[in-house]
Amino acid sequence: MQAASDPATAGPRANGGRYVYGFARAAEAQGIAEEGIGDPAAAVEVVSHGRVCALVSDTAPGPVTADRRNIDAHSRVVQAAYARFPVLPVRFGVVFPGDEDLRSALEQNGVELERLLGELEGRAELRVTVHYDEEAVLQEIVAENQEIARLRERTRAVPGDASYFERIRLGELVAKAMARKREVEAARILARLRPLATAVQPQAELPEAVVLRASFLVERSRLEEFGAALEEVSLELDARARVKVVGPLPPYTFADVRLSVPEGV
Amino acid sequence: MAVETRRDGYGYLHRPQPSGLAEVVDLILDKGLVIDAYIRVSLVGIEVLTIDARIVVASVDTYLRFAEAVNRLDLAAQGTDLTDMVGNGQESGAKRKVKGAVEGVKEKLPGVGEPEEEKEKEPAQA
Repeated sequence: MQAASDPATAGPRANGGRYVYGFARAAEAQGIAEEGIGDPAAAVEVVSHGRVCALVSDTAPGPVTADRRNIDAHSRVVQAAYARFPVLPVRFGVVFPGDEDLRSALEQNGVELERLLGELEGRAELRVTVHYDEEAVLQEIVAENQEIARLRERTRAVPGDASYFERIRLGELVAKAMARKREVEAARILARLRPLATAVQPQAELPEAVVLRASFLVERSRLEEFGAALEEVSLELDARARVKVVGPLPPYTFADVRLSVPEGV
Repeated sequence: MAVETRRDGYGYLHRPQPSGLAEVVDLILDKGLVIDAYIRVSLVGIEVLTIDARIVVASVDTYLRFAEAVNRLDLAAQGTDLTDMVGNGQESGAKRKVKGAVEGVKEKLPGVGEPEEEKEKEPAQA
């Protein structure tokens, strides 16, 4: 038996294992027709203990490769399960040495799993991204800021090295103006959408033209309402920004918890 | 396959298929329930890790890029006044669509979406 305490991203093991896609209630889970990870793809099975269960498939010895095929398989299996019954999505790459270890983890964490399942039931994750059209926003910044407009004229008139430091100054002012704009706009959009969601998780560090990227946990019954609000947001933003929404997705972001397992075994 | 919602020529809400791998790959690799002792994943040779590597970093390079970008703007082509953009409703926003806003936000996922390229503008009169 493999040592359970070995974090073991390391070398290949003697035996394969049980790759885990998600956890569900034993009474509700069914087999999933989607093919699992691996090549050839393994069938997805249900391993139960008490009132909870795991969706798993066999995997070869060694680390699971995070390639396109495997990530896609993980995504499809979780999505297919989520369409049929409440499921807690598991992060890519969790492999139990065997069903025995898996059942003991289910036993040890059964209460917590049931609690999380109850908390997330009937809710979906929506990922919203608001992305500036850089050119449109730069136009605004020049129009709104006299010093920027002035520096722009000067650096256009004095090309190359002669205006190097002025160009840096100009760029710095533009970057700061854009950061302020993003901040105000992100706060406004969040304030608009937050009341329609059960929970929100904005992403902190973003590419410079991205105003907002956030995951919203939304009641399925409010998905339409949320979508309508998003349409309004994008209408207001007009051609200066694009609003993208992905979902409804299984609530990965809101199932982002760590489970404990027995030490060592 | 993506579906665009467009209304009255204003604003676009982009709704890609949630099953599209590019849309969820960072979610699946980075979020979800985890059991530390049993993580067994190899990220070797994976191109997807470059997603969102380009975060906001205040640097001379960034500043020079912005300076170049504002200098390229053709302000003469800009018709309506641009104040109070953050305001409300139909009155706000540039009336002219500056560039095709129909496309979705491009994730930096080589092989799935092409990296965004600078669009060359007509050189403005100096």
